[in-house]
Amino acid sequence: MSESGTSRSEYFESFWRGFEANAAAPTSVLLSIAGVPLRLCAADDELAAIFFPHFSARIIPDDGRACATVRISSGAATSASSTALYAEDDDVIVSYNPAIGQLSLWDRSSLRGVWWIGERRRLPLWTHSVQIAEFVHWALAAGGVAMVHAASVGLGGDGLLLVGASGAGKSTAAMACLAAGWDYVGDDYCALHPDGTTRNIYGVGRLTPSSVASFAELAPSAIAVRTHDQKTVYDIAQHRPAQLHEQLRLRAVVVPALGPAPLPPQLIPPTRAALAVIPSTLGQLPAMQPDSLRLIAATLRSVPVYVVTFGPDRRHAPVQLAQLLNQLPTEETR
Amino acid sequence: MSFPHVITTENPDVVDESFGNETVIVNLASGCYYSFATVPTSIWRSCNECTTVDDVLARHHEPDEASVLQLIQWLANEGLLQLSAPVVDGDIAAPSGVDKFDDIAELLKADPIHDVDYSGEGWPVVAPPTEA
Repeated sequence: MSESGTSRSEYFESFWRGFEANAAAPTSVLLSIAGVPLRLCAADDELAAIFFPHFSARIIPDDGRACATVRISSGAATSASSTALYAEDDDVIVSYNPAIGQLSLWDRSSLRGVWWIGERRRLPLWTHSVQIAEFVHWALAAGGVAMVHAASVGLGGDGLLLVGASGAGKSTAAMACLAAGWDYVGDDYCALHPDGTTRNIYGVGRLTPSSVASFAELAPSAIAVRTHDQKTVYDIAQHRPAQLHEQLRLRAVVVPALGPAPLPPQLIPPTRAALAVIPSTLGQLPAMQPDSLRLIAATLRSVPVYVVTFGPDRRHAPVQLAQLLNQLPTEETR
Repeated sequence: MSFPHVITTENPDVVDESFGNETVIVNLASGCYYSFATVPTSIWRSCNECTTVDDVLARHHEPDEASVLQLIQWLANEGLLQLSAPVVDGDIAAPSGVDKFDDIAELLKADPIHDVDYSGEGWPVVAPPTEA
């Protein structure tokens, strides 16, 4: 480290201490996400009102335990300078969203995080629904759980994991299943637990503008339209809580494909699924750890992988996926 | 010809996962990821189990020695393993049975502070100098 420079640890500590100095009325909640505890501390009631409600189903009594903690604040920055920040301090991960001027810092040795935004008015409404994704990702990784860019839906406790890049059709298929009454864990992010289950993280779902009209029954749960891709965000935790499941037993992985007509499921090598889910997860969630990649790979090896080609009628997707679930061998016959 | 070159594969930035006879490798440092078919997977496994290039060549006679050497050198050029000295000189194209993907490389390598588009705002907000 340069004599005149600021290490990432020092940089982190300046923000961590700045919270203590500037928080007007700090308030905190303890969450349990996929069984991993995570404490959120907001600097004031307004930030708490923005961040906490969407985790309402994840809040547990705070017994004061030591666990991963994220401090959420806005306003005055520190005196740290951008020109003297060094990257060799690997314990602190830095992620910056220039579109809204938001900074995330995570000290992986102490499991402490800082979420900071210069002007809270720049925080778009849609981000409220997938809040602090990077911190959830880092905290889960420390707890031996992998957050993935994937959807998970199911029936009767049996789940499917839908993997693929953005636009591959996993979110629309998951929302079609939601509209058809399926169990829902997630359409964009979910967690893979080493016990072989997919786990819920967020209580929301999304649809592209072209799909919104096809699922009019979901309209009452629409809460926002994302500015960058015009996707409509739906509050499933509030409007369809019975369908929002904490976990599903993973039975198969599905790589969605779009075609002129629906095709029966086709068994494919798990490598195809790995090449679908690993890059998109790496691209969405910063600083992926090797252990998370290994857990994703172990999951893909543990169940069959299929490509399912959906036709133009997205409402038919649940029929195809139900047929797939029904044809899978049961636990007893495997 | 002898190839006593030492192979080193321990690298925390390189994560490889096998799926049957195929392998997916992610280089977290470069941001590139790879899909290996059966033959490169077999040679990659040998590279992880052997100490020298000669040891690897002793295990693999297919497709031919030159192709095995090219693959080993290509792995080194990609940063997936280290060699005590090159076994092949010059540029090497991606070997048969290997697919390389670099579509997220720029994203993974970007410095989150200095490489982003600031839209003229800059980061972080530098506090004005304190007057003595």
